[in-house]
Amino acid sequence: MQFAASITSDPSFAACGAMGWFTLGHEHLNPAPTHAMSQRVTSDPRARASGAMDRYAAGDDRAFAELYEALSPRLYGFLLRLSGDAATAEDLLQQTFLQMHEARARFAHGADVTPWAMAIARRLFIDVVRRQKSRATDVVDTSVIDETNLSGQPSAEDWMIAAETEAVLRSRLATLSPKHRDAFRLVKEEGLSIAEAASVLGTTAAAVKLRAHRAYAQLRTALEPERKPR
Amino acid sequence: MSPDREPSQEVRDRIAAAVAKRSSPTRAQVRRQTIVVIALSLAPLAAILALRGVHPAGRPLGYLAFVAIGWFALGLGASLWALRPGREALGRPRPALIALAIGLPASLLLVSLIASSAFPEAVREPLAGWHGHLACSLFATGLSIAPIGALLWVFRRSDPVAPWISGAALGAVGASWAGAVLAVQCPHAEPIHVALAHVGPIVASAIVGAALGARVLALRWIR
Repeated sequence: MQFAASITSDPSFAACGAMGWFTLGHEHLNPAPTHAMSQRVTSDPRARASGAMDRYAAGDDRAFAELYEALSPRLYGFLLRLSGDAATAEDLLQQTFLQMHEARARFAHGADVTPWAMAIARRLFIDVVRRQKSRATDVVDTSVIDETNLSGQPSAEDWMIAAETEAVLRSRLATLSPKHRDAFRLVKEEGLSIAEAASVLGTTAAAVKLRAHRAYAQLRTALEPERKPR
Repeated sequence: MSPDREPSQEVRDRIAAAVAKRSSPTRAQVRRQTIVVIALSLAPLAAILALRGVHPAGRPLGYLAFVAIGWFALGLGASLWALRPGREALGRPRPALIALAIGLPASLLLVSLIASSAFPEAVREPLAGWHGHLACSLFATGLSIAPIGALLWVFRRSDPVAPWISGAALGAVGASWAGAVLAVQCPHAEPIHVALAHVGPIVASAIVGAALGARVLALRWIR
């Protein structure tokens, strides 16, 4: 949302933000919850997932269900955005949870499970891509858009413009170097802090900050021509 | 971009079934395993120390104490730091692990250099020749195998970010224990011998640890 607001003041970009497609703030993964969502969400899923993982690591097997409940939507969304393919994302989701299950004892008491899970998911995705010897696609899968999570009632035209903009943004994102793209995704899309993204990517916070900023600047430059005709 | 979406019930059932099929140790079980495995891997070093004792071989006691305390303290500190992941689920930051892999051998060398400059009488004739360098290198390398193997086993399949970096750090930590035993056994205190035959194997272990870590510590697809 912050990204959409800052990258351009064009109404079509604002529409994308209003529909929750730009969830690029540093602090939050999702847009401000609608009334229905706020009724459904009783606590921070991230904290809930970490608490459940902590209990699971200590031997409470029943905590896995809660862990899955709290973590799977975010992890699945991350994998969908990464792979662009629902079947691959599902396989990777299963594999990520299996890896977490196998390595549950390694989960440090009081740690945040989200960066760990994302690091595992990202590594598995890289392995899959390497194994298949094919390049990861960055195609927009419009089937993943969950309309029930969107606030307001945007018009059909707003939807189309926002979809076009997202497609352009994704295609531009795909042209960035993997280092810049990963940093941008984790910080701007997934809402990880700079330090968390640094630990997921295995680099320093300064490097992540620089990469995300450069990616942002490149996207902004690349999107300039797209908004001029509007 | 696109908001998150719940995976289907079928996926959920599939994951629940796959997890139920595989048992995994809890935190307490792994802690016990780790203590046992590390203790077993250090047993040969302890046995050598117990059987052969400390060999002053004409070196001043001050030199020996400084080197022994320095090497053992650095080895112990590095081991505790490496074995405990801190408060992050992903373990220690990778830049810090790189610093450990490079900084530990450098610090150990520095300890020996300070000791030999503070106690110049520790360096005595005859100086170690290539034969002496080789003997100490082989001794240190042989003693390093068990601790490095144990550390890699303890952390197997646990690093989704940069397993080779973790491997390098564990290699240096494991070899530092062998180096510490060697430091109190070897009669030669000249800096060139310490650098080549005592610290050199630790650097080599870090490199080998990186190569092994890339395979052993990396995640593997679970069938």
